[in-house]
Amino acid sequence: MIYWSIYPLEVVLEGYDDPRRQPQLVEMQIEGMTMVVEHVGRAQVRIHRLVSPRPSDYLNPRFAPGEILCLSSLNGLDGLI
Amino acid sequence: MNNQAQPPQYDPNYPERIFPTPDEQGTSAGTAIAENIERLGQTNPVADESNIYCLTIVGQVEGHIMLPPQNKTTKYEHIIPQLVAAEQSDKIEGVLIILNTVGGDVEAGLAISEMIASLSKPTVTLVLGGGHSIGVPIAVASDFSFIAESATMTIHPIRLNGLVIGVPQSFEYLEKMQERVTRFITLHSRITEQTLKDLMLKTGELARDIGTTVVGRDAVQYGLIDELGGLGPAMAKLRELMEQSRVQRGRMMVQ
Repeated sequence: MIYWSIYPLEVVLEGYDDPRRQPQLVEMQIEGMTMVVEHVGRAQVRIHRLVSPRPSDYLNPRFAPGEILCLSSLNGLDGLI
Repeated sequence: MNNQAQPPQYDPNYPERIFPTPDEQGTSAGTAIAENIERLGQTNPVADESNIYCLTIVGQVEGHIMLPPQNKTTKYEHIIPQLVAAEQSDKIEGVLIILNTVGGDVEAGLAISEMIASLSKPTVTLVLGGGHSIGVPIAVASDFSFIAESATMTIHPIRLNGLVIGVPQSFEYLEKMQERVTRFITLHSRITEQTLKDLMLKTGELARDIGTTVVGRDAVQYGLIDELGGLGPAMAKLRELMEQSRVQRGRMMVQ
């Protein structure tokens, strides 16, 4: 990666090699989409990445990165891969 | 009689409820609001179907490496499919890109810039706050660019980081990376290569680096950005470009 920014690299990458600060990511199938999520609290996940071949899925604000989903309210949850 | 109110149930169609389908919009927008009150106990404003797609690029442009959580990032793997969706959608006629970015991954930023530049629909970018480093090619990628009077753009050379094999190789490599960015910027704006390089290599302006901070009006003077303005002018320009492309498409249909 070539990083080009006005922020110094040491500020941007601070804590990069600290495993405690790295989120534990898992892949899940949610409503027919593959999502890379992080568990936050009970039955809640924060979306980190969406993997879907349908461009329209990316326009849905519910599935934007950073959104929190409540697993109990979801349909089509196929569980952990 | 079971008159008890039913607890709100999850409905897989719920997301579509917020964004009504075209036929719903005209005939039963009121019903949709009523349903929202019933279902959620609140009045979600029924969003009208806009023919403009607004994309915001803020914070760091995140590419191949996931940045630590203290960074606010825009992930390019999310931006790219959104641009694809905007391109293929029949309803979307123009894209407005709002930028306030401090820079980030060169590859990711160039990928986004190329996507914006090759979009067949009219695009307008608006730089608010800042469009620094890799934000510069993204800002110039559109058909027409605006910068707010108070917004700034930092133009400075790509610095060395990452895996370094040897001095001559890395120098060559950096030069090549820089060349890609410079070429893109000069191709998509009115600035000359010489002016851009002069701004980039200027000393005495930045505390930690060589380069220049270009404020709103100067960016227009150097030819980097097309016009000074905020949201209103940007939107008016986008509508004008959309109208032009509509006329053009109409003409093609006649032929």
